[in-house]
Amino acid sequence: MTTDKDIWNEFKNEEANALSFIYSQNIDFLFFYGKRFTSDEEFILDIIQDLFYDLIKYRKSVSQTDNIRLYLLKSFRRKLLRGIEIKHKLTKLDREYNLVPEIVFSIEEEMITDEEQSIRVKFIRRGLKELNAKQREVIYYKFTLGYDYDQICEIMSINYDSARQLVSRSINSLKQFMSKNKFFLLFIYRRLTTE
Amino acid sequence: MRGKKYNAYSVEDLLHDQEFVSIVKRLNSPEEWDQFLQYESESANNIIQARKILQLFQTSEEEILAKEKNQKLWDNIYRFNTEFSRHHKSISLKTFVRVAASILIIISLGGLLYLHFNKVKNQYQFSESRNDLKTESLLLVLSNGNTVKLEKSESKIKVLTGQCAIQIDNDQIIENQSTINKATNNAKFNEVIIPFGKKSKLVLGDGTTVWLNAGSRFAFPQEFNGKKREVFLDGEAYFEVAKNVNKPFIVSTAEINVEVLGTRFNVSAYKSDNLCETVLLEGSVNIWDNTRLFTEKIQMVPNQKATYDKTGKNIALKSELESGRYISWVNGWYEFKNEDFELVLKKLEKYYNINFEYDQTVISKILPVSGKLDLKESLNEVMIVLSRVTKFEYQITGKIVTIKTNIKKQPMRN
Repeated sequence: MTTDKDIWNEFKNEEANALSFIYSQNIDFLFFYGKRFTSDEEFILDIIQDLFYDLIKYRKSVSQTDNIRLYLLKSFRRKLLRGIEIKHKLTKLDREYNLVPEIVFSIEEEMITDEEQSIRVKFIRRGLKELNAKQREVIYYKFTLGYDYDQICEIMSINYDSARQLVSRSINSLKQFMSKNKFFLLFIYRRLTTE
Repeated sequence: MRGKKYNAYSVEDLLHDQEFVSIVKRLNSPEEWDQFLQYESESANNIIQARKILQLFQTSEEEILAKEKNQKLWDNIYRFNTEFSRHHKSISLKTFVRVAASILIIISLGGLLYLHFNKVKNQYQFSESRNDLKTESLLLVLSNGNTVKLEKSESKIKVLTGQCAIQIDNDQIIENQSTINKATNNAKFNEVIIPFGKKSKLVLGDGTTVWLNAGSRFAFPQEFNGKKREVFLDGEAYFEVAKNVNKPFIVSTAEINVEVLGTRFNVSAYKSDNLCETVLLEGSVNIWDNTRLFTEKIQMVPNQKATYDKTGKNIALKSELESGRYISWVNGWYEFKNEDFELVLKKLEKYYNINFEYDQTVISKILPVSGKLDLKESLNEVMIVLSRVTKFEYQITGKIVTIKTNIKKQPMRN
């Protein structure tokens, strides 16, 4: 069975097909992950290009991995944040109130076809506003992607306790938010339970 | 059955639990979910609550980057990879071009002679019918009439020069006195039959090495006694021809002949295919259509591919810089670049001795594919890789692989 480990080794051995495989398997994921940090598409594509260029340049010395997507994600995230920081430094907008780059963690603009969906999306958006940027990011990994704590800590470079605390606080905020908005809940969940 | 895990779990505990998150993702139908709830009845309320929170964050649609942007980005990355590799490759010490000017002259002279002699059609009739390619064993049909079955899926056959014998797998030695065909007064030929799913390596009396691919038949004499070294091929073979300036080596297939003096090239000339492809890696060859009376010889140089189209009956030459790809099968790899998906399937049918069933109208619309398959892997493994790349589903029943093409509907994007 060809594992991620095998494919990664092939890539390290300059196997062109391994490179194209890794690219095609992860490009969509990386792009839409990037969209959660910024809406600047050209910028995201530049960072992805930079990511792959570095992989190619340093392929001999990159470490082995059992999970290619995780490896790419960690590297990509780092480059994204650095790039956003630089981009903000270059813009004329004042950032005096925030020394840490603002991570906008927003939900994709979906093609909304029905009212139910649009209410659901609005609901989630408002709920997410209750959370800070880091919490939103952790929730994305934990609930949407289904990653475990090891993987989350790896990507975000934080320790287990910090990660767990982020999740706990998020859950509390969400629970509070949901109890404050019971009307919306009833509306949405009537739909969810009949599905 | 595992014990009830979520007994005393609060909503928060559940949401922290990795396994719970993946269970919610996994259980889609109401029946599956009800079953789970019934099993974990003690904490049903908390579970329902936790699930509601989780469901807010599930994305349903697969998001795909726009094709043009994707392609443009990939082009840049691929180009960078090629440039980077080229500049950082260690210089190989192999000498590439061994053909000297004098040899070229001899080839042209030889060419003229052949134009004269080729008026008589010289088709070789293989003794076994094509159906035997579906059998299991490799067969060696000797010129003295005996047949030897080779059990391994990959055998090495070596002609022992001057000893009237053939050695198999560095092990068995079989006697084979050269016999003359009374009718033509020519030496009788040995034949190797390689069934689908197998391959073989053959060393001829002059030291020429021939690798034979699945589904091929090859005929060769015990000794090369005449003015030329002639062999016959129906299938695919890679040749490393021993240099002999005085005796040109000719590979004869049903449609084309390839003539060399000492060189490395791959010929794919299956009777069942519509195309014959010859790729030259090193040295120089002449190639011509042997089905016509008056035919021009075409000379090939290294890193060229000659494609003979049986319907149009013409030979087209094309530069092929990645000639190594055409002999990757010798090492157990099937490598292809921008290949018609249907052709890939046809090749796999030969390597694995199977038949594909598919909807031709759908398959022919699939974009050309590139890749490298490890032929040492089982068919199952290969299908997993293929379906990952082309995103189709398949089913293997015995020797038939059915491809189900339900095209995934892509979300509409501006």
